[in-house]
Amino acid sequence: MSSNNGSKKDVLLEVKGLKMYFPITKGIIIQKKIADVKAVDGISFNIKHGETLGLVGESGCGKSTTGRAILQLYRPTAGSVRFEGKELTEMKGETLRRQRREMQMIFQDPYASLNPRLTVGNIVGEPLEVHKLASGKERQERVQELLKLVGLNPYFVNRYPHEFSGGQRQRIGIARSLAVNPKFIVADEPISALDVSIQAQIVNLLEDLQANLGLTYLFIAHDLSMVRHISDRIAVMYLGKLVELTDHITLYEDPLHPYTQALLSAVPIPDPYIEEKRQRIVLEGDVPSPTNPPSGCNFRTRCPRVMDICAEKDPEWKNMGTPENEHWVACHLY
Amino acid sequence: MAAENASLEQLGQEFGQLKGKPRSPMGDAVREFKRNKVAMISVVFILIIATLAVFAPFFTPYGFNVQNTSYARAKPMTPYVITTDKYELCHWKETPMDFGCTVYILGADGLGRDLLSRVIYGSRISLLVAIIGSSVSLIIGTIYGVISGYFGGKTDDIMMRIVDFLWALPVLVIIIIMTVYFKALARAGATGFAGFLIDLDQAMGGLLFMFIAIGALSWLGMARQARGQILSHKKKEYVEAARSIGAGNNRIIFKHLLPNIIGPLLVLESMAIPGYIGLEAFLSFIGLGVNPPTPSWGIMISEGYLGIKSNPHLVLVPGTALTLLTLAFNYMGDGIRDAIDPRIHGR
Repeated sequence: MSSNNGSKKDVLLEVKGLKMYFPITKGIIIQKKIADVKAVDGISFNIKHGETLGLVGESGCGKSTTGRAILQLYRPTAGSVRFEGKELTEMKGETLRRQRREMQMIFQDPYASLNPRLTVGNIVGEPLEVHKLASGKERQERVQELLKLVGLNPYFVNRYPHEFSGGQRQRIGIARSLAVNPKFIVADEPISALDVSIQAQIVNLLEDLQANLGLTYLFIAHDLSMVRHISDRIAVMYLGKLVELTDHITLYEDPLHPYTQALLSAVPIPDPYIEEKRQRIVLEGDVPSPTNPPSGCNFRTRCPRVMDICAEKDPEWKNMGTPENEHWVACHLY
Repeated sequence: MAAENASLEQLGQEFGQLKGKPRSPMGDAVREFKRNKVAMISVVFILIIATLAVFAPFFTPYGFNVQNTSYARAKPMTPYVITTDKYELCHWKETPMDFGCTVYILGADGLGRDLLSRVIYGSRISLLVAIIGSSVSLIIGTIYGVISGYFGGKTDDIMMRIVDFLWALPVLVIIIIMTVYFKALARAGATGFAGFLIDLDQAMGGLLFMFIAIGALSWLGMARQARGQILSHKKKEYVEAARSIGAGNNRIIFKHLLPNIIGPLLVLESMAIPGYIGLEAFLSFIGLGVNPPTPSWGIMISEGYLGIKSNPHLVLVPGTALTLLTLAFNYMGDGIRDAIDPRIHGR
C-alpha cells in the first residue's frame, strides 16, 4: 500500500457515536412516530490523511448510510463528524455547500448516478459551475483534463451518458468527484455494479489517483478480497454497528470477532489445495430487523460463541492491539 | 496541437472510440417522432387547421356572421339561384355558374350563414381551448406537483389533500351553476367584481367561464402526475450526486429533475387535449359555452341537431371537424408517447 508506512498521520476525519435513525411514521396529516429504523447505531472511527479505510458488511447493515451521513447527505440523528477539526453536523446552507468541495462521493450505480439529459462535459463540469471555480473555455479545458486523468477521451465532452459502457460511466462519475480537487472521497461500492474485468481497472484507477492526488478514501464494499487489496485499514459493520476495525493484514490473519471470522471463512481462496481444506463458518438465521435490534450485542442471535452476558450488555468498543497498531473490536469474548 | 490531437486519438482508441455524432435523448425522441407517419400527418393536419384559424379572414368566403336568409339551409356544393322571394336550384346545363348562381361549398345553416366560414372560425375556439387548457395544466399542474413532491412531508400532505378535495368536487356542476348564476346577474345588471367578470366574459364572447372550467379541471391530474414523477426521480443517485457536489434546490429542480420528468408530462398533456376540445364542445352544446354568434363547433352542432333528418350537413360538418381534430391530437399524443418512451419502440 502506497500510504501504509506505519508513521502516525494526522486524522482527517473523526466520527464519534454517529447515529442515523429513519423514523417510521403513521397517520395522514398529524404524523406519529411509531418506530425507528436504526440504520447506523452509534459508530466511532477515524480516517487519517491519505489512507483508505475499507468499510465492509452485508447488504442493509448501514454501510452506505454511514457514508452518506458523513457527507451530510443524510443529517445524522446524533453523534459528531469532524472533518479537519470542523464539525460537519452543525453546518448548514452556504457553509455546508462550500464544505462539499473538500469531500465528494463516488456512487454505486454508474447507470443511475449520471443525469441522462446532460452531456459528459456538463456532468463533469457541474461542480465547477456550482462552486464558480471555472467557466467558459477554462471550464471546458478543466473538464477535458479531468477526462484524461480518468482515462477517457477528452473529445467525449459532448456525448451523453447512455453512449458509454458501465466502466466508462463510472470513470465519468470519478471525474466529476475529482473536479473540485477534494481531499476526501466516499466511494460507495464503486465497483459492485461492474464486470469483474472492469472492476480491477477502476480499482487501479482509484489507487493511481490516490497516489498522485493524495486522496483519502472511505471505500465501502461487500467484496472482501477487493477491499483487502485497496484498504489500509478495514472496518467491519454488522446491523448498524462496527464490530471490528484494524489494519488490512491483521484483519485477515487474526480476526477477533466471530462475525469477521465467519465473513472471512466465506472468501474463496484461489488455490485448490488450500481451498479444499477451507472451513466455512456458516451463520444460522437472518439478520434481525434494524427497527428492533436484539438486546445487548447485535450479533448474539447468530453468534456461534454466544454467552449469557451477550443478551444483557452491549459489548464495549475496545482496542485489543497496541496504540501503534490498533485493533478495535466489540465483543464480550475479549 | 496536432501532436496532442494524435495522442488523444490514441487515447480514444485505447478506451473505445464512439462512432457517429453525439445523440441526445431529446434528439432521439424527435428523430423517432419524425419516423412515425401517422403522427407526422396529424401534426401537419393540426398545423393546417391552426393556419386556417389564425388567418381565417383570408380563407373564408364570408364572415362567420354574414347572413343571407334566402340561402338558409342550403345544401353543400349545390348551386342556387334566387327567384323572386325564394331560392330554387340552378340548372347546371342551362344556367352557367356565374349567372346568379351561388354555391356554398359546405352549405349554409338555418340563418343562411356559410358553414365553411363558420367551421373555420369555429376552429379558433377549439384550438384556443386546447392551448389554454394545456398551458394552464402544464404550468400550474407542474409547478404544484413539483413543489409538493420535492419538498414532501407536511407540505406534500396538505397540497395533495387540496387536490383530492378539488378532484372530489363535481366541477362540471359547479361550472354550470356558476355560469347560470352569472348570466342571471348579467341580466339584472351587476356591479363590482361580479360585474367585472361578466363584462370580461362578454368581451371574450363567453369564453371566460369556459376557461375557468377547463383550467380548474385540467391541472389536477397533471399535478398528481408531476408529483409522482418527482417522487420517483428525487431518490435517484444522480440527484443525490448533484446534492453531494453542492447544488442547491433550484439547480436540482430546474437542471436535473425537470428535464427528466417533462417527457411523461408532455405525453399526458397531449393525450388530454382532445378532452378539453370535447369539454368545450359539450359546454357550448348545452348553451353554457361560447355566446352566439361566435361560432364554435359545439354551438354549430346544437344549432343544427334539431333538423338532423332533413339537413344532416348542419351537424355533419362541425361534427366531422371535431372528430378529425380530436383524432389528430390523439395520434400526435400517441406519437409523442412512443417517441419518448423507448420501451414501446419497435413493437
